[in-house]
Amino acid sequence: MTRADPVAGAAVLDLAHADLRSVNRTLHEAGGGDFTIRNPQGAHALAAGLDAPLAVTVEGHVGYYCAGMNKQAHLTVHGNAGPGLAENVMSGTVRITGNASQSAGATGHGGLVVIEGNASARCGISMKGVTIVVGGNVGHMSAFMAQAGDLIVLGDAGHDLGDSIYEARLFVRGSVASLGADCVAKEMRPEHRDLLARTLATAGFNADPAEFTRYGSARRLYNFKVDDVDALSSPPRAQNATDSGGRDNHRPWDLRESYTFDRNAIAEIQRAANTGVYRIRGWGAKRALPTFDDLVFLGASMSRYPLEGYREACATNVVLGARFAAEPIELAIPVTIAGMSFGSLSANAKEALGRGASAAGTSTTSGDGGMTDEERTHSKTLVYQYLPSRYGMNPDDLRRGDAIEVVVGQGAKPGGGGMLLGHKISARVADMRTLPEGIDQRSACRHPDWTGPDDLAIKILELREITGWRKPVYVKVGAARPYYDTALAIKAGADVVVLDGMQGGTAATQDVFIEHVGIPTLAAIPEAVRALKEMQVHRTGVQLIAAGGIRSGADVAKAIALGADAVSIGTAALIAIGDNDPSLDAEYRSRGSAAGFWDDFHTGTDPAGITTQDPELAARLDPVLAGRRLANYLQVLTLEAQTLARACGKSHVLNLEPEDLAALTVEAAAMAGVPVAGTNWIPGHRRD
Amino acid sequence: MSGTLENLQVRKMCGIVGLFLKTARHEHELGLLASRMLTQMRDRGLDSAGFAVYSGDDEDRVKITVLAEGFEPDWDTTGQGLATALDADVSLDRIHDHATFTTRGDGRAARQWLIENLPGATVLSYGHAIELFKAVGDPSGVAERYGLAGRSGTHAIAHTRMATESAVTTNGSHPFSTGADTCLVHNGSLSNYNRLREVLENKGETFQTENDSEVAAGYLSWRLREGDTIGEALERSLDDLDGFYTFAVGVRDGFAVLRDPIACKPGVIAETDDWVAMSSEYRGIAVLPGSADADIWEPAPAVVYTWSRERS
Repeated sequence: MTRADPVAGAAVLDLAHADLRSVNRTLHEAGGGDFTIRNPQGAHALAAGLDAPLAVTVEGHVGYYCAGMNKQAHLTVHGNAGPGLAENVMSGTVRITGNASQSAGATGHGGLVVIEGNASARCGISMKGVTIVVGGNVGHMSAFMAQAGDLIVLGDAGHDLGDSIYEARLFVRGSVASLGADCVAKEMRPEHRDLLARTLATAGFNADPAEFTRYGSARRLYNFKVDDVDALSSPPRAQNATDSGGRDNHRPWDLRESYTFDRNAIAEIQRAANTGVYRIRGWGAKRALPTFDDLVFLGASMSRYPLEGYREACATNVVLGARFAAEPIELAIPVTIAGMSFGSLSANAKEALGRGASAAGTSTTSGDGGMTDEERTHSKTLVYQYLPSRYGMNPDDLRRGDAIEVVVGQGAKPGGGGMLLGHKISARVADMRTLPEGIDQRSACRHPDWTGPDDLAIKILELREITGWRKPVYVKVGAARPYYDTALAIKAGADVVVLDGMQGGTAATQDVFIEHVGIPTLAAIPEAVRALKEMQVHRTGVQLIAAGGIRSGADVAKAIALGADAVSIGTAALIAIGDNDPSLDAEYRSRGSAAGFWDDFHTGTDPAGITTQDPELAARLDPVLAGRRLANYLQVLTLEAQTLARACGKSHVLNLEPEDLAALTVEAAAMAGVPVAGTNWIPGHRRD
Repeated sequence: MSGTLENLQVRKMCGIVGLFLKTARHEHELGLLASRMLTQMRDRGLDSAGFAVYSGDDEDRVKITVLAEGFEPDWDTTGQGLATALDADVSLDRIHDHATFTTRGDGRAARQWLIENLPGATVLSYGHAIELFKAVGDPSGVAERYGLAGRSGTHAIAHTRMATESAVTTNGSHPFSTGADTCLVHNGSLSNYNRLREVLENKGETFQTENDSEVAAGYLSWRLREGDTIGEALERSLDDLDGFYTFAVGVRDGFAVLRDPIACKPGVIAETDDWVAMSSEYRGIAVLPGSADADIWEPAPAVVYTWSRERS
């Protein structure tokens, strides 16, 4: 490792004598100037989140996420770097004289990253415009899902180079162990050779562009390949007719429907045979599942006295994320609006959600597409999601948000990534997500630069360093192993856990995912609460937001009684602002569906103007009116929850407890951990 | 699915370190160096920690380390029973709740006998060189309690754990050892270990926990019993183990590292003329003498790295 020559006049920061927070704070507060950092000794998140034209020299090896989300600054590290070097870099330059670990330059939007030695696996993963130059080799899965930018490798590339690549350009001088899906060698034209010459010179390498091979997307994965066998059959197959509402009307007495192969099952097999593609749809699980309906409250009686309505207050305010954040989230009501992307929803819909939530004193959440100005303007409190795709991720929006929600998964598809089909990738959406217009977006299911709670802990550290430890960090999981997931999220540093049960909705994913992965919200909450209680952080230290199929104030109150601090609504919010409205029934029918059944959000043809990017359709949604509808609905949720809480003698909804509940079925009793009504029996093991 | 405190499917989220001395130069301070490495990993897991040290290799005798957590067996009587069962003398050393039996008798038989005859205790290891300690608590506390810093030897493997239960038990801690002088630490999450555990039990392996890493250890001890070298066993494991893992493995006279083909979990290796070290993060290596000028690289996915030295 070469020692740096001291930069004359540079301010020296020494991690042997100062902690990371103070070093980063000094750098964040400097508007410019030269800095030398000594004794990094593998520290994480060093110089992350810089946003000024500083010149920083680091003498020694750094840990994870050095120069994460860098803007304008110029960094040189005389040593090696751990995972996620310059992740999400926006501009400026980051140079490493040694080797970089995996995910170097991950999701970078701009600027220049130079690695003089080797880079490990996943170099340039999901890159969105950055230029990366590697003097040595890159490891496997480099440029995975690379969307834009240039990766230039003077050495060799490992296996699966450019798997699922979009429009990024790859130039490799040495050998390539193997190419990933849809990545092919491409013609080198004069403009490519010029780019190479200029970039190599800027990066300080002496190499001949003629020795490089260019690789890029074959673009065969850009759209789903859908067959249409029905179109070829003669006579043409009849369309699956929709019943006039009641599915069982007009059925002859002597015909018996199969329980196993009912009409839904038959229709799906026929659709699969026709198209050769799995069914993609929106909404959440539609099949019958245990819900909160199977729980009831034990209201006032001889031993428990109710509160009067109106005069005797039942408070509903919630504080989220006070554990580490300087600026926790304060909500007037325990109901928030869940993450839904601009892209899956129209801009008007996002504005409506912001207006309604703000009127009700609660928060909205961005989604898998970045933050829009409409939402930030109209949402008094906005939670900014941090997802595997990192579409639109940038430090400015990270700092503009009021909280950060790291998404590990969602209830509709725990283990699945985002999905947005071509009709909805409008020019604006494409621009925000750094994708070509009109393609079918494929998203990663894992984060590009961390896997597992031990590395999540380091990622959360980086996010806090970038935002000055001011904002609460939420971690969202789909309900799979909620006890362990909650405990691990807490240990990784979450201030708030968002738990999304299998009834949770989505704008688009495979039907098989929605219906067959994850556990019901009712079963998930008590397990998460068990973890919170065992770690002695329930209510006071770490808050729990429960989501997935919340419909009424009864659901809100029951979720809180089981131990959640708040709930989040997605599907219900869309219905409140106009989704599946009966007045649109004729339009739904013309699209092969019906009011109350419409779940084809992925098509972008929503007549309500909510899950569409079509300007004419989107214009049908008046954001002011729709915002008022949402505010009304939130008000009713709150009033209903208060009614039930008062009946149980509570002056604050958060004082609801499991002992206020009884179960109507054995399953609900076992899942919720409350006795079957009229008994003191809870089936199965319970331990608190 | 509810978990009991004992049989939690704990995801292996943690920090792992390994130090293998190629020469005798640092043998006297092996434990001191290993404890420094382990302490650097504390941010990855504060709940429990464990270490294995290889020292005093003697062909004529084996050491068996046993943990009795939360209760006090009559160790002397146990030792006598063991001696009878093995038909060999047994001596006993104790440090807090760990006991080390030393004997000329058969180590595997000793392990089996102890598992069957000392209910509630856990046999942590057996072998000519290995001793293994694990406990609840943060890594520097555990290292101090069992005297890691004062131990000499040829190689050491250690682990610090982020656990999911608040009433943390030691049983989920690594390293795991099911075979002679073989132990393993694991960062990651295996996905097919329940079925594999059944298969290995049929092959004669015995498990004491529900832990996925113990299954990986059992897989290796099975393959070693079948005559594989540690390199061959790890090569084979690429086909038989599913999930995410970075492994550091100790064997009697060697050390090995393997990352799964997807390689999401971290790992750094450093090598000088005197030692090879492995850690989840560079910080663990930065504390070693000569690390500033060491060769530093990342283990490639699905490549077995092994080092060994002649037994002196």
